[in-house]
Amino acid sequence: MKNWLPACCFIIINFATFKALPAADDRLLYPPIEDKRFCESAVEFKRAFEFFSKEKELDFNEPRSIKAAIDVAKNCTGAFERFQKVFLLLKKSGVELTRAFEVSLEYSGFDNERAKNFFVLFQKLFLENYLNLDFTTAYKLANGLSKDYKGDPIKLRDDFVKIVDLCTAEKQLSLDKKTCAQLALNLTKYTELFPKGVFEDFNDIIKYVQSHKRLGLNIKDTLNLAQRVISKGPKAPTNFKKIIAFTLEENSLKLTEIQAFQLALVISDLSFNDQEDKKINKHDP
Amino acid sequence: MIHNYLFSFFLTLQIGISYANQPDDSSIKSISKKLSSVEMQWEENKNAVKYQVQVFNSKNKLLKTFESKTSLLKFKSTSGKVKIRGRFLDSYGKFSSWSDLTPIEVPPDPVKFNEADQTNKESFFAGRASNKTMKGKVLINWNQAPQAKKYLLKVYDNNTKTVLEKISNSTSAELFLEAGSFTFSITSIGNEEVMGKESFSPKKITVSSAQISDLNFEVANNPKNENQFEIKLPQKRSIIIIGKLEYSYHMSERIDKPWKLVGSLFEVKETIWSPPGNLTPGKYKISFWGRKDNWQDSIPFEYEFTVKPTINDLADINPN
Repeated sequence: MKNWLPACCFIIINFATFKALPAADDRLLYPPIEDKRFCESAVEFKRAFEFFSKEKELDFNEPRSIKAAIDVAKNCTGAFERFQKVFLLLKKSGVELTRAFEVSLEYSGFDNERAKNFFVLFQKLFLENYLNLDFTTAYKLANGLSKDYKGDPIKLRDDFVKIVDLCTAEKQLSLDKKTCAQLALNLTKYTELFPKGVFEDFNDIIKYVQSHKRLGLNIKDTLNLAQRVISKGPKAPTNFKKIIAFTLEENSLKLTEIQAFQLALVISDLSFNDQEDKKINKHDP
Repeated sequence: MIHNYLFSFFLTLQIGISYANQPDDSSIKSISKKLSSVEMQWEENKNAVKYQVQVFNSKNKLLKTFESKTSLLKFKSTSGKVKIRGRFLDSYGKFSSWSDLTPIEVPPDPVKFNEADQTNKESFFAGRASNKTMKGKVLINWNQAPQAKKYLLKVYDNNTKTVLEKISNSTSAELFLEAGSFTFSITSIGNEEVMGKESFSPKKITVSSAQISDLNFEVANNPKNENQFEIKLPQKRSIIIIGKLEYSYHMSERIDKPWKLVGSLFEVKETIWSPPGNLTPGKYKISFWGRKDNWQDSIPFEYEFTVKPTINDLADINPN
């Protein structure tokens, strides 16, 4: 038994030493290459080629598969993943395969988030469980909200998905799908004005108006109000609430609920100074 | 001496056709002023130097006397029943006795159709059958025939079976025929119902078939989901409803014929049709039309719809 103790200590010491030593792995020997200019082109080519070889419905012969795989690999690391997701989504939606290939190849050339926007938002727009739009409209809007979108795609996607979930959920707004689609499209026009996107502020103002005892707006008027307030930027919801509090809760002014509401709207409209924007633009070289 | 007045007539028009359907209106509206040509061949007599023929009407009134140096006499006559008698002058300058009066019929000339119609096979009298009566109106016309007082029109089907007989007092007729292709003949009728030779028109009659009138198909959408619907089909006696389901990809504008038949044409016996549940996602077009024997199919009713993938269909490409 005495002989076991040194042996165990030796093993423990050695194990600890082993963990502390650098592993025989290139990634640890050299600093990782983060520069997006450097691509895993071989990996992308191989995965793409194997995919095209298996995708019998595309009917690509070997030279055509090689050519297509090269086209995918040209779009650098992650290209195949982007291609495959968009392609399979379009194929399963019933898109003609040559066109599905072309669109997917185009999306493989965008960054991951833009491709993900198309993948996620097209489903939200097209599927029956969500907005249930017709194919042409859903496809056009999904393109507009992904490859053609100039702002932050993550923020936009986050806003869009949350708004759709909110307005289609039975226990939430429970709007009809057309109204919901229009609301999501209207609100996401202002996503870029808000540092964290519009959803939180939109949801907040809705809850505020719905729960305010003296405002008593129906859902349609609440949505119209919320869209108008949101359109005036991130300070507008706070300004609106401050004036309601000032007029109705602090009783600083002797106004009726309607007058107070109108005043709050006027003041919240002043939250966005587009003249200032024009002045800034004038000074731009 | 009365010679053996065995003479024979060779008339330019055939005679002796009798018809079961005689006209009930025999008033003359128009009759060609041209006379019918008659040729008459006497039995030749060796002593004859001249032949003489007299034509009488049915009331024995002398109409005309003709002379000929040969036994063949050609003359023009009105159509109808006439009586003739003949004699000859011998080389001694003596006439033989008149023969007995022999009744003959001078038919009107046959109708002659335009030559152009004989060469142009594309030319035909056309009509379209009505949806209600199943018959189509066709107006046909033909040329006037000399001495024709009226015309017997006979219409034959493709099996040469007579489908219509009609007397016309003019050179046109309005016919009501069922759908099909027909030939027709015109027989001119002269005075005293003497009939001419039947002439067949090279120009055919074509009556396109009747089309089943538009049927009423109703689409009932699920108010909660536009993609869910059913189609109520009309129920009409003796009309069957045929259905056709076609598929097309989305974004298939570049394909020549984007719609592909799904399965085969089918007869719908139910009163309501809704899409089967196992359809592949894509665009669909359902068409229905009515069908009945000898009728043209009704104009198809078409309805397009989309089958979308479900969340489950996309589960394997969506991250959890």
